[in-house]
Amino acid sequence: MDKWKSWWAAHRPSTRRLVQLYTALMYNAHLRGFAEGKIYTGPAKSVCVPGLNCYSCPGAVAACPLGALQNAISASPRRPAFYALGLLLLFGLALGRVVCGWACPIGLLQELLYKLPVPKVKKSRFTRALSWLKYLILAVFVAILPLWYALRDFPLPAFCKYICPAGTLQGAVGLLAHPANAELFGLLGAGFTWKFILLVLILTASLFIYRFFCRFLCPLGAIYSLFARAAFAGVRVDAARCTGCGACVRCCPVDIRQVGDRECVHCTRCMSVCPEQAISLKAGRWTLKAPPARRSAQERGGEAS
Amino acid sequence: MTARRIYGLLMTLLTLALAALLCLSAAGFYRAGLAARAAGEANAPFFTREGVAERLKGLWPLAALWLAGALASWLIPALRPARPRPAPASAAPVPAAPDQRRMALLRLALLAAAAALIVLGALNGGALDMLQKAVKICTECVGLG
Repeated sequence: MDKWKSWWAAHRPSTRRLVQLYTALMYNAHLRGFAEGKIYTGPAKSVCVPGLNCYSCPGAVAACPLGALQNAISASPRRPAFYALGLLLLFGLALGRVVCGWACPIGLLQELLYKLPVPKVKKSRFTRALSWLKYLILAVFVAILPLWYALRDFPLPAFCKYICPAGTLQGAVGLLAHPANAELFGLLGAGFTWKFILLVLILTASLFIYRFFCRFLCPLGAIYSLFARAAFAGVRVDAARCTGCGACVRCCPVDIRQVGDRECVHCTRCMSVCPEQAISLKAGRWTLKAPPARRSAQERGGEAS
Repeated sequence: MTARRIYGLLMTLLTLALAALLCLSAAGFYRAGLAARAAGEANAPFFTREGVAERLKGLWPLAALWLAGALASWLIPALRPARPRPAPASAAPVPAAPDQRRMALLRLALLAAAAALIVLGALNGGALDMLQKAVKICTECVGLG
């Protein structure tokens, strides 16, 4: 019995993991789509979800924020992209990169892959520098290229077309797996070949590097990172308690300089290592997750002996 | 060498082999399609369901081994990855407490801007555009064409 108890203690999913699984399921709640090999075509698709989730996935019940933004930019010569920008502003303001840590299926997949016991690449100055790449991808593939081609009357969601792993994994693999879509195979060409190879490389890299795609490539994370200070929800440091010991930054698997900065995905791992219990997950004045209770000196002494 | 290390090395090799085979398979299909088209079959498909199924059948044993390895690391404590050693000690700057009043004003302004953009967007047909795009299969996302 004790053996099972300790096994369960080691394997029990955290609240964050449950929230991640739940949001992934909610984003893809049209389960009938997987059985029929068809995508959902209801009115909920006039709204996008906050996380990266391809709207061509048979289960997707809402639009993808990045796909919607690129299409809105492509249509911007006719109609300004107010709606998509407004939704992204709302998500960014409400949640910021809490979306990355708690409500993104691609983030969840990468975290699960990272659990495999293979050698890991630690964060360094190089990975910190590489984290700027996602802003370049945001500028070039999400803004400049779609706008450039829109002005020539040619809609091109460049990120979806050349990079997006969610499109390949959820859209392509999700649809092609169903026998009803056999005729789609005949339409696959260079684009699919490139995207499939890129998907395999990204997933493989995720085994060795924590959240490879989120840290270096994801333009949605880049957008939400702009709200690092203004977002309503996120991990917050009680400046009065913080001694600047740096335990939080040391234990963090991503390239943060301080808790809650542009790279922080609010996973709350730092909460358990802070000796001053100065870190908590908050939404405005409400505390969503309080730091673990301080152990008494007697308890700590008992452990040491 | 500990069991964990040997296991990690084997899983690394297995992962890299599987990834390489998947990439080579995709590239192989594309190359074969190009060759068929160069030989005169103008509409020869690059990928066929039967061809992909055949290739996946060949890769299945390796994929099953990889899955079994992943499952083993989850079930057997001795194979689980060691806790990562924290980065070397260095002091982190104490985050400056933001001016609460200014931050509240900024949030309010941004919230108002977001609401205005959403309403304007819904009125100018942006929501309908999003719906019309999202209810069709996105050829770019899937990689069709």
